[in-house]
Amino acid sequence: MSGARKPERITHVLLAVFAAAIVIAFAVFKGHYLISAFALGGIYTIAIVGLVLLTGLSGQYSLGHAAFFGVGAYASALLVGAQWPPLAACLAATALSTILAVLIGIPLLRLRGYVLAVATLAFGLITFSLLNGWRSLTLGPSGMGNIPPFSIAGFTFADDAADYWLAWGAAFFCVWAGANLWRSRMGQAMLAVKRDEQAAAALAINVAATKLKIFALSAAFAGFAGSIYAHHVHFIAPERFGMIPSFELLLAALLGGIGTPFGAILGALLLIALPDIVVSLRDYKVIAYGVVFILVSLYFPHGLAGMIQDVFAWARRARRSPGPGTSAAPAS
Amino acid sequence: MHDLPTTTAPMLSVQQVSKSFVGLTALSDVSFTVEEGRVHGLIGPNGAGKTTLFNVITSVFPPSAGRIHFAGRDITGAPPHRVARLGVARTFQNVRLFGDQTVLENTSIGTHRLTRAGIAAGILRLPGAVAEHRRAREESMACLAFVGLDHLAERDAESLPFGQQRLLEFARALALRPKLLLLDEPAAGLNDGETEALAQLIRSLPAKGITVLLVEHNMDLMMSVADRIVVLNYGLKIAEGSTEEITSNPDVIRAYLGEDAIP
Repeated sequence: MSGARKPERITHVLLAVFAAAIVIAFAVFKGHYLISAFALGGIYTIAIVGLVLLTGLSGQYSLGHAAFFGVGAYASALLVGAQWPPLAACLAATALSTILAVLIGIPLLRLRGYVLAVATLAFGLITFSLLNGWRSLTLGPSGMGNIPPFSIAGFTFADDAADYWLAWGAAFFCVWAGANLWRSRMGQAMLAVKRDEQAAAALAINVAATKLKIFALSAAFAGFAGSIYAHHVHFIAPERFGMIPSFELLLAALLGGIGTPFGAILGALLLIALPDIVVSLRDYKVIAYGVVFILVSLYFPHGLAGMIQDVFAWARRARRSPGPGTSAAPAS
Repeated sequence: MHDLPTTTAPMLSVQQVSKSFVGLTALSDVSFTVEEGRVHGLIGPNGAGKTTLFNVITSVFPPSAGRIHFAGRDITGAPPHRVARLGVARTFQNVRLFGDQTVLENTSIGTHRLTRAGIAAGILRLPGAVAEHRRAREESMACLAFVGLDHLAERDAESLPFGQQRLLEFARALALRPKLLLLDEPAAGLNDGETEALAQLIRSLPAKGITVLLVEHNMDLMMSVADRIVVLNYGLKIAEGSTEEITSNPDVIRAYLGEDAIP
């Protein structure tokens, strides 16, 4: 496997490029209607970072992440409706999403295999049914409107431009956080669990607890993103948090690349372009998702970010002329 | 679980341990103790139950009967990560490294036992976590230097020849700073020079406060490092004693060389 070397320096360069891109994109699209779509991209980046960490670090899959996103959105909308300040509502919504993940995860994560994928699928379906059916709370399929803009300590994010900075500021923080986690003690423990649970346990790593923590963290990211989403679009309805959105989030994570938190940015940009791409597919889009899912898993397991890493690694090797031989590679 | 005074208890006590899998008895009523500061050998023909015993001691699976005590503490059936946390490290017969990570990263994962930083500290790069990370790297480099792999720290683990992968797994186990180290055929795949270097490493472990339980087919290595040897055959303990006692024991010779070898 190539391009796996990720010293701190590269991370700092990528973060600088990311920050510059946020500023430049704003300068270019300021006043344009697309700035709203870009704000949405920042919000999706937050949720997708959570999925990238879940799958890339610990090897687990969530097929119901839009439900955590929806829990965050609805909890925020309801609490703000009850006169909570948006920031407090956002923190509570994030906490609720996290707690739900812990409750789902505790009975499951001692088991091996894809039990989490199945359980999150079920959680997604149940959440979708509740959002639709619990009309006294959620107003059902017609959705909840008139959600006020986000505000922090008296400053209101009143327009799309302000939301752009809010979303990408938060997204930048989350990508930075993900990159930090990746290299940290717990991030390395998660990678060990993903690769070999028995070896990880022999190294004093609590496998079940580690899996639970990263699942809860990924749900926290999704809930946080959902909360900002509700304040950005001002109107939420169950259909935005169902099965198809869950697949789209996971697909975006896989396409963007699960080998690095920076892949989440690419995945989110794909996701905001998606409606234009799939509009002609109509009802066949689920089939198209399935095909893309399989192709990516088989041929591009590290997504766009992985392909970019490979290109850079190849360029570096080419520049170094014939590199030191690694002919002694063992058969495994 | 109850604590006994550790000064009097042996480092490891295996008491009447049996393990059967469906239709197969892998261990049958095996008992022995390993005193602190010893290099204790475990030999026997293929299929004698040596690796099964390692897996029972490290709680990969519980014994069907019997108890395991570590430093006076009953660890029978404890979760494997807790056994490791108490200070029992191991290597695997078939080397289980994290192949696409570097030699240094592989070793650093071994420091998990002695480090504390949680997810929040890691995410926010809190000063304590950063300092701890640096100490863990230094500790890992020291372990790599001990086995002679420090010059390969930035290489991918899977790019090393097999013998060096074994040494890397050894270094990773040392990074736990174990009280008891279980080595499962550490010399397999090593050449003569590497094996002699390994023997010196193993002999130096008790002085570092590490008690060793060693499974090894290379008898020259075993005889040169072991203080005491247990012999298993078909899951039964057939002999225990010093190296001299073992090499002259007729049951052991019969198990290894067959009936005809007895004069």
